[in-house]
Amino acid sequence: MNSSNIFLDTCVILNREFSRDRDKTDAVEKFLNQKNVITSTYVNMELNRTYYKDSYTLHTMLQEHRSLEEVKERIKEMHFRREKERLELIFERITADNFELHEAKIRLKRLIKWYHTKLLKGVNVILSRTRCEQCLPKL
Amino acid sequence: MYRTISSTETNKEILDRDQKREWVYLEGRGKIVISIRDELEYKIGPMVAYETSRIFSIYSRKDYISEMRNSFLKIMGEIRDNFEDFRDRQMCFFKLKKALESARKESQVNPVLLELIICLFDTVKNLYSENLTIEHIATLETIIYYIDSRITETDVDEATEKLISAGLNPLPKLDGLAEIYKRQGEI
Repeated sequence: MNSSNIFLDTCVILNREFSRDRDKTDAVEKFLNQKNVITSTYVNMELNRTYYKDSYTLHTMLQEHRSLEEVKERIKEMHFRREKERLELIFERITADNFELHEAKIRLKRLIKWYHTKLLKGVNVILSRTRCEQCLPKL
Repeated sequence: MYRTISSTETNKEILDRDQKREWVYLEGRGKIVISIRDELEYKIGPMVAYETSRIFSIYSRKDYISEMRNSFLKIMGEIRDNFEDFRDRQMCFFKLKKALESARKESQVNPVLLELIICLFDTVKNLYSENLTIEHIATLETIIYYIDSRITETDVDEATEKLISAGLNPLPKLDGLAEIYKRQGEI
């Protein structure tokens, strides 16, 4: 790794896209401009365990119910407080603009399929040197 | 219950589905013009009906989709023409947002087309007219050309990739999620 490489950890990658603090993210973007930005397969794995896993969990819930009201009620009654808060936010965003169940499903499918591409746009992913099995390249 | 109506081309059959006053076009291609005496308020299935006096112009789905594409391109032209004046640009861009909202409602029968419309809808929603550039307009126009009756999932994927590469966001925004992860000690 030469000195001009900038390594992004999970926190920075998620903040670039999912933070409300636009001043901070704009400053980060300005700093990263024209630099060689890298991350590792370990960070990639961590991304899978955050927004991706939450979105996929919600996706399975949407498949189980016939209406958005049922899903909303189910999330509301969940006793896993941490997950509940995250699922509520994602649910709110995919159902905004009076989206119906089938439209929300399309939005969520797109979110699952494409946010990784968006988060890692312009970022080179290098192989992690940790011994974490989940970070090894798939054969 | 079937009703036979006359058209300029040939007779077409329209099905009154489950008495819900929802009309479904069963066959025929191209634009037809029909006269319906007492049913001016009827919605015509997946078609769009334009009313002129007591005459409806009904477009086949294929024609309607081309019509939709052309109307979006026309709005994009207006945005280009009014780009220098921010207020005009904002008004034209808002027109595009409204048109996409309406297209979303009219594209429900074609899930692949609906996905492309949602893709465009989210892109435009995440973009403010003050941040719009000429390059953005060119990219949006390229994506609008994907609107076609024979659109495939590969086309939608290509469109999404192009939008992301152009620095646009064709996905629902999840701002606030990073703060939740941070507060919960996940990151």
